[in-house]
Amino acid sequence: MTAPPVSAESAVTAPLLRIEDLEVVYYTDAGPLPALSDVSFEVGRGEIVGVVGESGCGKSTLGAALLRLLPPNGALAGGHVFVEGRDVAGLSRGELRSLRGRTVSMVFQDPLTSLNPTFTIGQQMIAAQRAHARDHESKSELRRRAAEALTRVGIPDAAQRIDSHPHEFSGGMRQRVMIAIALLHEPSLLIADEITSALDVTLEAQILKLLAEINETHGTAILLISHNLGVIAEICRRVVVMYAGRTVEEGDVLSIFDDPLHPYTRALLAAVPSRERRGALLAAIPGRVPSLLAMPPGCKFADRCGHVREVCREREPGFLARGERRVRCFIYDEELAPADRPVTTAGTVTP
Amino acid sequence: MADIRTVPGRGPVVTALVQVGRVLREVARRPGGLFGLIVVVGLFVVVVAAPLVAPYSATQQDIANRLAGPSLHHLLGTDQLGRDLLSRVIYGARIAMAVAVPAVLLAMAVGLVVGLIAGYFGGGTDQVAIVGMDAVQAFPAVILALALLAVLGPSLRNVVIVIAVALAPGYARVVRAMTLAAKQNQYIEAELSLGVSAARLTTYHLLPNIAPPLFILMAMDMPSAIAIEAGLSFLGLGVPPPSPSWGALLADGFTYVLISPWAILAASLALILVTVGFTMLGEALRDVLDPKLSGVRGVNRLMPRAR
Amino acid sequence: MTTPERDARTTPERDVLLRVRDLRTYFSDHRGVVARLTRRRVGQVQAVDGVSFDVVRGETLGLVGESGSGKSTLARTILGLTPATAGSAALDGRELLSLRGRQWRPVRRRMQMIFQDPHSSLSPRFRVSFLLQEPYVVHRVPAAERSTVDELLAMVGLSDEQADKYPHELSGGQARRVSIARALALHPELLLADEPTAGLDVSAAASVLNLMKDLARRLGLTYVLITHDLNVVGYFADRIAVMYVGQLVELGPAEVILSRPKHPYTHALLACAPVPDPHLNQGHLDNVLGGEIPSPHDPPSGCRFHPRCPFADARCSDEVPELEELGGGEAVACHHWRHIEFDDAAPVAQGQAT
Repeated sequence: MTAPPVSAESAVTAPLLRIEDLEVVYYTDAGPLPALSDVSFEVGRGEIVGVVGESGCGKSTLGAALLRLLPPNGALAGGHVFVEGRDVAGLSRGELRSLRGRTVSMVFQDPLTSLNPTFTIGQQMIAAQRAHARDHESKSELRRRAAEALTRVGIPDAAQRIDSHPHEFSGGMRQRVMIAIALLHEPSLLIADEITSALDVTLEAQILKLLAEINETHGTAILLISHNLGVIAEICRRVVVMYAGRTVEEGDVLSIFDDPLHPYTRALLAAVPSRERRGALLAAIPGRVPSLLAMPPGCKFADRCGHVREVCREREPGFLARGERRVRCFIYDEELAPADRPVTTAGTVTP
Repeated sequence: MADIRTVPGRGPVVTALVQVGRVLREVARRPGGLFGLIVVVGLFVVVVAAPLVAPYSATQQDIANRLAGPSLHHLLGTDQLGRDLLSRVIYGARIAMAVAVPAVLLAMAVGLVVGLIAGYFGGGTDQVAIVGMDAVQAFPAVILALALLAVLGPSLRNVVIVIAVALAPGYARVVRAMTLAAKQNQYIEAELSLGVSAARLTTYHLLPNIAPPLFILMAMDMPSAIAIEAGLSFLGLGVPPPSPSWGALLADGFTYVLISPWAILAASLALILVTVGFTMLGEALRDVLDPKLSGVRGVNRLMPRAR
Repeated sequence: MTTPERDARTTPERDVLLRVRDLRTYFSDHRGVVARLTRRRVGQVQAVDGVSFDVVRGETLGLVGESGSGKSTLARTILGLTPATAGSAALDGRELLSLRGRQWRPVRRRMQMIFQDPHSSLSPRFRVSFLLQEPYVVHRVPAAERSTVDELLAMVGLSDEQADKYPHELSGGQARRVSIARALALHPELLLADEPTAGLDVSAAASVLNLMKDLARRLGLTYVLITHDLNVVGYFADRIAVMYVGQLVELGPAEVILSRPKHPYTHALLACAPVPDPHLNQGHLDNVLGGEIPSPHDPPSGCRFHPRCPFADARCSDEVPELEELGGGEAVACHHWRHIEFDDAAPVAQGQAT
């Protein structure tokens, strides 16, 4: 039922990352939790793709699943993740290690807990380099590269700072260090999971600028996971919107923000406060995200959607193509009789 | 028309009792905890019903049968004066509990007050309290007990006091640390901004959150208290004879061990059983209440679930 | 909603609910007993360093700043949770900073705070019903004057079912509303809200903001909204005060601050803030402000912003700029504001309106 994934460079080059019908389940005391279902999209070489959604939508699970970094009770229950054409699930332990940190790197939200407080930055960066078959290189060479990497991310006096411990850096600097480590092996893809959520606005802007620069100079593709629509709008070229473990909309950033198709995307955009909205009420979305333990059949947004119809409660819409974009909503399902389809007046938002 | 919900919630006492029930149920589910509970409950039953359980009185002598081994009449044998060892052990349990329970409770009470004051007020008060705790803890418990008893004179009451003094700083430290940690919680600030008094803040919002680890400590300290008492009695400085304190039994048995080891065996068995029982209970409590998380979140796991 | 023309200093007394003058809150750096004994220079954290502003009855003042700006400390000082080092804060003419112990009680009924983390600001062992009635118990409010639990819940848009729940059973949005209900139980006049949308999803945040706006209108509340999120102040605040490392750098009506900021830091903040509109972001990242936020332990000399300011000169590192009145209720603390022209105007409202 899912349309073939549309990628910006489909017929020409194989995409760097291709996620196909991905399904992830967490096994808990309360039963299996379907954290991700039917997730499919691609990231091409050198692209910056944003994954946006609120808490519980599965975006962090997605990030972890790509590198098989799920917690012990999580499992890839279906679908595939292809990195440079190779199925991640089929990789041996050694191949997986080679993938992580080398082809695909990840940076997380809290740099303080990602770095070992008892070792200096330099020691950790050298260890990170050694992890990928550079043990034949001399320590001074590795140090030099580390200092270089730090300078590239904008850390002043890198040659001295390299001997500092993580707690001696400020939050913004630490995040840069994390990015530097992630870039040590010049990965093709960088996964950034809420990396600026804990940072102040001015620092956040610096980090985003850094990411944009890295993308431009090194051609590193970036998968930017965030709940912040502003951050997504800042540097992403394409956007994937997630809800209740599913992708609900995908498209280029301008289209998504100018002309959101899915009712959830619209509602989300209508709920963000801004100075343009002074004096008006924000369009808050009624209801709550359905519990993963008790998901209704049919469309997961049905209970909160202003356009809901019978068909929406019966079965789930597929991720349908609409030009270059994709959306999971019966409004756009041409196979349905118009009488059965939900309707929406273009341009208005019905929360 | 009275709205039943305008009555302020349930209050701390009822909430606490309900949670105690839940905790005990959880503890009983674990093998170690179950064993501990059985031992502890059994111990208290024996203590309370001693005259019913013990076949003889603790002092009834039967010289003809002195230093005898186990037999139908004397399940654990007799001591040097022909007194039934089983009965002496049972009555000895009374002494052990009569000393340990008040001592631990007193230690907890004193430690709680000192720790709360030190943690809540901080600053100079805190410094003074710490110095005090350090001073007391610098002495090994038995030495401290000996010194104090030499001054106060040996008696049941004094033994209790002395042991309490030795154990109190342990509680004070834990309470102080937990108070300091609990103070950081934002809800404390929120309550303060509401205008609550220090008394209400402490009883309602601090105490319930620092209480759980205290119960664990108490369970784990019981063996210490019992052991200290036994040690003192062994040295002849505990509760005066002819009280069948386990330590006294050990002391007597020690003299005659080459002829009849049963006295020592009896008393040792009792001590070991009780120590292991309380310790296992304490450990099970700790596992259930999970002090890796703060005391608050640990007990939250036992709170009613939304679904 | 027009803001009356007024000068920050000469606002008529009866209109001002909260008047803060030259407030300072310093913390001494705990260096240990030995250092103090040997009189080594004990550092001082100047968390709030000479802040002055007025809050007019019925308005919403947005207090904006990043970490280390001192905005949270300022709120706590006004509430009496942190002792002030110097200066004054007066609620409806009554000086707060000299109050001791019991004297705070009546004041607390008039001034409440909503704390940052929705869950940890609610005492975890008590049900919502208890927490909502506690203000009445603490202040011994006679039964006739108390609102019922159901009334309070309804005021914040929650159903009766929530009354029996414990804080950890509530969602972030629900917990936040319970905090608001609790704060409103005593019918305060002034509400300080510390990051009211922090930790909430976009939709939950939106409903909380809607609620706060509605309550302001219905109950005539005055808000001091403390946040780093410019979108929130842009949406909500009547006036905005910008803080940087313990000092007030700019103050004025919201529309003016947002469209024509005078202080370089304010401008940088506005320029940096990511806006959910990809059109406005083109070229956005070219103007990113460099440098780190200085630590309040060791602030730069003179104007605290000078190390990062593209317009700074020698005077800026020597002399602390005074907060200068500009008329129209605006004030700036910058030596050069008159001569500065920002080459891109701060993003003006151009995006799609609902």
